[in-house]
Amino acid sequence: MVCADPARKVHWCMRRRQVIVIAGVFIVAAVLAAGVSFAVRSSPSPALVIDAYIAAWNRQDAAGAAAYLAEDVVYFDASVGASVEGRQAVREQVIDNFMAAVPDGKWELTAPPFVQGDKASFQWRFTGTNTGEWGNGTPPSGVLVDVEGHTSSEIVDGKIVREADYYDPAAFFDGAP
Amino acid sequence: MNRRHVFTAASAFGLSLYLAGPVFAADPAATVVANYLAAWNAHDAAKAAGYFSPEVSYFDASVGTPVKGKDAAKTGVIDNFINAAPDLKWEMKGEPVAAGDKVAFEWKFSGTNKGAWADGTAATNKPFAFDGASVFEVKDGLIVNQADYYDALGFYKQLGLM
Repeated sequence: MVCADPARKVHWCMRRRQVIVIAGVFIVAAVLAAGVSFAVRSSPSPALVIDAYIAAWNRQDAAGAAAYLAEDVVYFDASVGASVEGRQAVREQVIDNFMAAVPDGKWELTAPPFVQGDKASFQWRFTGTNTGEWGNGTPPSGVLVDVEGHTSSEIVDGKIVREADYYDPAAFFDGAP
Repeated sequence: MNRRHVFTAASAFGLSLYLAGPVFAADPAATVVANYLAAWNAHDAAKAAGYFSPEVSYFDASVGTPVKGKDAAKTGVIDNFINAAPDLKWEMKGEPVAAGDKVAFEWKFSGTNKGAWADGTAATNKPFAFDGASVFEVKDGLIVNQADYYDALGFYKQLGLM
């Protein structure tokens, strides 16, 4: 052992200890830095974006809701079966459309959203009365809508880049459509 | 020597925890759900139900009231679908979202309605395919909650029932 050399003992063992301490400090610093940069990069958190997005819907603020969508957002409604692409198209075909057809629509979460990286999952209940015409010309049914659904979303830098909604649209119709 | 060992071991342990943490946390629940999905696709109702907790709550949003308990969920949901669509395929789309006990994934469910439904509706012999999403809660390796969301209206239209 190098440490057994009386002439070098103190010096060498100090150096080894220093190397270990420096390596340890470096590892701890790297871990902390990675954690901090992760926290900075993922802010605001997807959960906060979801809350703010839903709050904008619930005060019938179409522009406010659309502001949480990325310019190139892809929106998928499973009961429509096709995607709508781009913030402006989603604003007109989805947000304006729903707000006109169900002007008192309320979206509430039925369970806390959960998030893994950029991806989030949330379950919801949508209630309101279909008193307005739909964008495709379907007249209002007058039905009291009460439907539970699920949204899968991807949120990058505080903006929704993908939203996919799953629900049973039967709730929007009066009896057999 | 002792201090050095302790320090080195602590650093290594800290680093491994940091690296392994998120993967370790996400893994077990997602694995249970993947195995459950595989059992459905093998049309093995007993094996699929084996991933249910005895107190499982199975919620189909288009039905609105959960089915409670492993046996009721096996009979009312798994057996029902396997009997009505013996060739069923339940495919995951993309990657699941997993956090702690919760797992969600988007899917495509397809098959041919060759058998009668549990409610007495006769086989329509029609093929069907629809998209949906499910959310699971897994405790101690077993599913305690499952919630399915899909366009049931579109599904019934494909079968010619509406």
